[in-house]
Amino acid sequence: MRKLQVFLGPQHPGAPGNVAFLLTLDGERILDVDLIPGFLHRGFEKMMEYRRWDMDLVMSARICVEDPDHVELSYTHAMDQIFGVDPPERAKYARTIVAEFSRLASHLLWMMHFAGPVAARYATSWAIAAREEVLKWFDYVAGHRIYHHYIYPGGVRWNLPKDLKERTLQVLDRVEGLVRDMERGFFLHPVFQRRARDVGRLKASDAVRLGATGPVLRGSGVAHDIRKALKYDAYGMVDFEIPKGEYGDAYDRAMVRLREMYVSIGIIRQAVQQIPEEGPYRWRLPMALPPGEGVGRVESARGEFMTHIVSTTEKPGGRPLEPYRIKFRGPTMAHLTTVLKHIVHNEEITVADFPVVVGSLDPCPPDIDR
Amino acid sequence: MKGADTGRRIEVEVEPSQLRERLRRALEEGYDHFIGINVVDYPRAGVMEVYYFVESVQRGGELLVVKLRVPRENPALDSVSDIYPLAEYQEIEGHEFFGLDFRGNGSLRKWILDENWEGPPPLRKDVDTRKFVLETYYGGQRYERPKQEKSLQEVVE
Repeated sequence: MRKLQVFLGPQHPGAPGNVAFLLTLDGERILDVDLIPGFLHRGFEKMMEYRRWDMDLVMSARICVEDPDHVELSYTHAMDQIFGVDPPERAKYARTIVAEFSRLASHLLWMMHFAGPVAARYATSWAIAAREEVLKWFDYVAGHRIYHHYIYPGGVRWNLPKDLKERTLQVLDRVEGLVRDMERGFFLHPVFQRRARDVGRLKASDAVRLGATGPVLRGSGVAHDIRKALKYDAYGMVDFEIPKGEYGDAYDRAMVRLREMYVSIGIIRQAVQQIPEEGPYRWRLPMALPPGEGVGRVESARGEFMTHIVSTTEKPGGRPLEPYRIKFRGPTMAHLTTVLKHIVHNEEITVADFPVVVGSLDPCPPDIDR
Repeated sequence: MKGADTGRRIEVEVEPSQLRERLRRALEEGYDHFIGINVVDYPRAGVMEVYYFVESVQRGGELLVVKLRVPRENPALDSVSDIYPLAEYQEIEGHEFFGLDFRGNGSLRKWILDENWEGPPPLRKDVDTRKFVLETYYGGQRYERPKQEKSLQEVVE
């Protein structure tokens, strides 16, 4: 047997972005895979130690382009704990609505990335059309389309618009119509089923052991969701189910994401009905950062996102404004290292199947090396 | 139990020699989901604090934080990658960014910094990465934009 080593990515349509893979091949079959991270080199974490805590919030959104609000939310939760504030009721609902829209936008972008490698190119433009509606909604609420900086320690940055309820419900109706079309045209399509069924199986016990989170964990049949477990922000006040798969293959993971889009739409519909009409939206915080420690854990679109912030009285810059150390934990590192290796070692994955497996894990490369 | 909101956690402090035993017991107690390792460097006190975050799926996401201190001069501790597989990669990270030595982890190497950084572990507090990069890669010169001679209006005309 002659083994062949081949680089896949970063300039490859099947690679998810600024990461590469070193594949060890026997003919078509992949025997081993090694992840080669991108060029961020933990620069974010180092840069944040030189900057004010409110500037760090703006930087934190850049860690995951596709799902920026959940990174901000976990940063904000950690900061809230250091400042010792509990955000006002209205802000809790606003955070929930923004976070769910972010999940919706992220899942739609994932569908665009995923439909390409499985040769359903018609579905990519569909997903982008639906995402455009969500981005327009973000522009209307936060004034930005991609990075919003809307969630802020102590509450949310701006007050919500007056016609939020009507406008949001209109947007949701349009998006839901498009997602229903995609369900029939793409997710239930026999060609897609044949392409993704039984590819990249992951058992429930292995998913937990290897550190998988989010739709990858739930696709394997483990109903674990931080939103439900910790009931942060307004998630304790709305009613929603946790979709989960059965076999843990690529198709199950895709279907979990599809059903999560409906769940997100349902959560936003309830939240805009329940949100208090009046009341404060943000507590003003002092500029000086008190010493303390905060851990913010949220369920992002890809899985568990954690921010650990340590603030001490020792300030290297001499100003009481910079946090001492910030650490982010993204879900993608586990998915592309331990989980991907496990799948490749235990199953016959060919080069042609590889983009399907990687796509079904929904990687966000910057959160590996941030 | 410590912390509030999403940061509620059980925090235990152990000696470096008890780490493996404590985490093995944690796995038996149901903390089956490894989240990550964080390292905080304190050059003035001469120590590094290492935090292990482990979560329990069966107990509704309960978080356990195992915390320990290692001396900065000889930062060596035992690897737990055989107890939690994901720890293997988190330990590589601690090795390349803080210079920690995880005994028993066979794959310690430059991974994220591979071929792109020849120097001290960059996330240590006493390493000024900006100064290091300017001196090593830019010859001590700051990269400056060339001064614009003409205004944009003149260029267009």
